[in-house]
Amino acid sequence: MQDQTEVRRFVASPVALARPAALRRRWRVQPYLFLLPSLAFLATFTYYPILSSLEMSLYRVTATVSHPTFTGLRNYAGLATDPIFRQVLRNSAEFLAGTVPVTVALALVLALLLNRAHALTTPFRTAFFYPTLLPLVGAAAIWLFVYTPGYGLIDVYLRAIVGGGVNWLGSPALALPAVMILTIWKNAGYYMLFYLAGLQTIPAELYEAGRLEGASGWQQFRAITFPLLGPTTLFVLLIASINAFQSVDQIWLMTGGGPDNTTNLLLFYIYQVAFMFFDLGKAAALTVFLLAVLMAIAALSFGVLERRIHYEV
Amino acid sequence: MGGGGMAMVRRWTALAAVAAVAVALAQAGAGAQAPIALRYYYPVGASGPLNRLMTEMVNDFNASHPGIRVEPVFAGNYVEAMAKAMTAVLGGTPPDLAVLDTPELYSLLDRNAIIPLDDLIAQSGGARWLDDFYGALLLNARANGHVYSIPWQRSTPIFYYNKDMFRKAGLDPNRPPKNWTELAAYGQKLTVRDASDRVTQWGVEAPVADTSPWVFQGFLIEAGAKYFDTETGKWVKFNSPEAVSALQFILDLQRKYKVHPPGPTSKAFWDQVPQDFIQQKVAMIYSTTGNMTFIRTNAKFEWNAAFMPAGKRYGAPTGGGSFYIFNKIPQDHVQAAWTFIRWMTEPAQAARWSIGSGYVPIRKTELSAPAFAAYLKQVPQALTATLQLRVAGEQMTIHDVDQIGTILVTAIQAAQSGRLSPQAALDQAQRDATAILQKYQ
Repeated sequence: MQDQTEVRRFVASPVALARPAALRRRWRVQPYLFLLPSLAFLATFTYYPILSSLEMSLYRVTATVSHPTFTGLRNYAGLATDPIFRQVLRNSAEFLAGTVPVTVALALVLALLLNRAHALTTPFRTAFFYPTLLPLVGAAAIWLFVYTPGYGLIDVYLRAIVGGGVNWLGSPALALPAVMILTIWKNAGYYMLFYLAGLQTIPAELYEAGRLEGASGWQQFRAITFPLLGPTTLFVLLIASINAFQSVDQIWLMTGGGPDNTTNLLLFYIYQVAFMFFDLGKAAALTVFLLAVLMAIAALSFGVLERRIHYEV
Repeated sequence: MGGGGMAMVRRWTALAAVAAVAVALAQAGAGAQAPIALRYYYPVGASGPLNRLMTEMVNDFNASHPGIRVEPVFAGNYVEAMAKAMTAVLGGTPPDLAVLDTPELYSLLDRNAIIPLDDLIAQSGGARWLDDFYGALLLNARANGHVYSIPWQRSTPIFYYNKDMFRKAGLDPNRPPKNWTELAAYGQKLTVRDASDRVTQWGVEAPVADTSPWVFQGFLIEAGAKYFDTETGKWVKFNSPEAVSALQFILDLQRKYKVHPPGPTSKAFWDQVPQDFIQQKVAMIYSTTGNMTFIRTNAKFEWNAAFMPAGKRYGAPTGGGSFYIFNKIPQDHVQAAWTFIRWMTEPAQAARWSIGSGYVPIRKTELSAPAFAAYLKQVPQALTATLQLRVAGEQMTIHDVDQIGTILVTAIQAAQSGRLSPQAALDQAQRDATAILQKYQ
């Protein structure tokens, strides 16, 4: 096919006839030219920063040191003994464990409830999806008010049940869960969308066959819906885990990592170290660590889990 | 169509001629020189339409100074503005001047980012000119015998109280608590509990640690703690008996007298305190003078402002931003930046900013500026903040101030949550801070 096109162009163009080799070379360059714009962006905003972080993490670079000095792995060794970093890791793990399963499960339940068309499907879908449309910063600002002790929304409604005055964002035990609740609320609707799309691809005959065999709703879910949603679940888990490690807006706006560092998550800590404390070498080491975590999540998802997932009906 | 073309050509010729004349006139007006363009970063650290006021003032300056063109760049809050300025410095393209959080002095010096202003001050009347600024505001403008910043949007925490609640509790509304003992006693009278012992009105709220230990520094000064090196910014002393007593007093308000909401004072608490005050959920609060306009426009009750109650002495830290001129910019830019700073801090202009923002007056002559005198008639409470400046202490200004401030915040919150005792928390902070300051010894 390609050869035919080339032949036609050879005939049509005298210049091409004169210099066939040059033309052929240009022909092969073309696909790369199409890739060039995205490559340029990726190189500028992804590859170069990664390489530069890797390099910087091996130096002692602070804004006060005029010439960075090579220190090998000392920045990484420093992380191992940094008690705040240890706490940040614990917080991040808690945040991951607290948000991802709940968000994904909630998204699945919402999608199952809203998959069949009835009168209220559209309004409900809109209602659950709408948090996704809000910028996270705006949502966090709203939830700041929701969590206000005394007259915030939650306190007003909880007063009747458990008594008011709960200081959600001020309590070391409740601050991180409070931020988690906001994050779950914000993301569940978004993941629901993926599940809705996934549900559309499951052939109706399968359910029909299931019903003929006398399978209950739960059996249908276990034997048909959930396995066939496998790829969607994998994808959503991956996105949700990466999101959990990239959470920073809500921390920055609602808690500033406090109280007593109980809501300090990895990306916020990087921000603190880099742009408040200007310890750029340590921030680079933290960045490399975050990068390694994200790549591990991706590798785990695509490498190990993928093998257990049904793609074909 | 041909005729139209000709007319078009003629019109273009005429336009070009007009443009040429206009350019010539403009050049003559500007002394045949392009104006010096100054990159000016400024943060907004208080509520209100301050962006617009800043733009208006810069436009007025540009209109009256044809040789200079100040280009204001809104740089976010103080932390963001500092990050932007430092990134620009590290990238070799510093701004010409900026308003930055005043305690960043050593951070800026350590990065060789700013220049001393002594020569420029000498040109402008020297000590006589500088002495018109309130002394407390200049405390953290000085290092190594040089002046490095000129006060601009300065504030101080101040004590607001609800006069109506004082009356209801049988207290004299014109006599705010003078010291910590009275504060605790007033707090007990002003804390109201319902039948099931739930607090419906708190006595006092002090956001001692939000993301910065600013208000807590007031308590440290009042306790008589010498908590940092005011000369060279190289040491801190967070765990002195005085400092521990200040933290203990905060905990007493929360646990012993139960007149302050329990638990750590968080980032969200900072904004919640003035809200609680106007919602009448609390009788007395510590908050910045920068919130006076907010309180004045929203409070539906009689309120007053007073000094922060004294411990061993009265005291409050100063706060807010000052003008810095950056290093490695052309000499004519330095002069132009200085012209701008001088103009902005003229009593009439400074008064305009104070009134529009609620920041404290920065100069003594500002008080007699007609606009400010009129403002004081309307808001007599604004004078309290100015008077408190006389007893104000220096805000912690040391090397790596942001990192060490965060350490102190963590210590306060650890004590408030009960994870550590006040002594243990401050010992920990002292160890961590000393380790960081090691490199400057």
